[in-house]
Amino acid sequence: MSDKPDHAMEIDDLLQMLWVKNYPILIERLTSIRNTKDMLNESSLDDRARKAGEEAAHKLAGILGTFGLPHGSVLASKIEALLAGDASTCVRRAGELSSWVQELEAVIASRT
Amino acid sequence: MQRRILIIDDEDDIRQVAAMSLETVAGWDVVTASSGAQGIRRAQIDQPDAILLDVMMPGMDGPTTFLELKKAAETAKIPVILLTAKVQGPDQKRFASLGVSAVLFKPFDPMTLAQQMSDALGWKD
Repeated sequence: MSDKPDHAMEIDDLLQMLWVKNYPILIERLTSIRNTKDMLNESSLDDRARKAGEEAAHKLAGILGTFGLPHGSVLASKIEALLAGDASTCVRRAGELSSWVQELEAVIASRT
Repeated sequence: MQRRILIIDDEDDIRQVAAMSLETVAGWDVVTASSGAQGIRRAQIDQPDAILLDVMMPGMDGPTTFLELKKAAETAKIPVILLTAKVQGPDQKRFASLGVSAVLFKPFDPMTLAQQMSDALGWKD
């Protein structure tokens, strides 16, 4: 039997419900980041797509830790910061971005 | 004491989790708004004890919303706490200079959000 306080158990249950409810939008944000990464690797990244990826990463950074995935927030913050840089920095660090996106996908999949 | 909190955030998931947290852990009454403009209207109508205000929102952002709330007599005295995922130095200085009651950071812990707000606002109950 768990010795967690009542609120903690209730919060856990409600968080799980909200995770399921909001999962589609979380995946939508992840897809946006993945698209940005793919466009960067294909040398077709424009400002609009870069900004979309940056915003999606910002939103994931703000919520994943609340859902019990603090490493997901850290990764999303790194991706946000990288995409906020200039185009040459994004190109130079494309390998890091790919690695972080892959890791972020695994973190999100681990909660489901 | 029963408190009423207004959460202003454009992201559905943040609003839902924050509301759930404050209602469940602290037993506070929570109302929400998904934009700065809607939040100002809700603040005028609901007269909350405090406002939890997101910084980055499309249209009217958090700092602009805060300044509008302070301009209107019926909302000027409501304490406002900014909620942000931005932690860079220039942002912190900018937020501190606004005159908000506190700045809390995303991602927040749903178990401690209410306590963090109480501490920031000096609420003892």
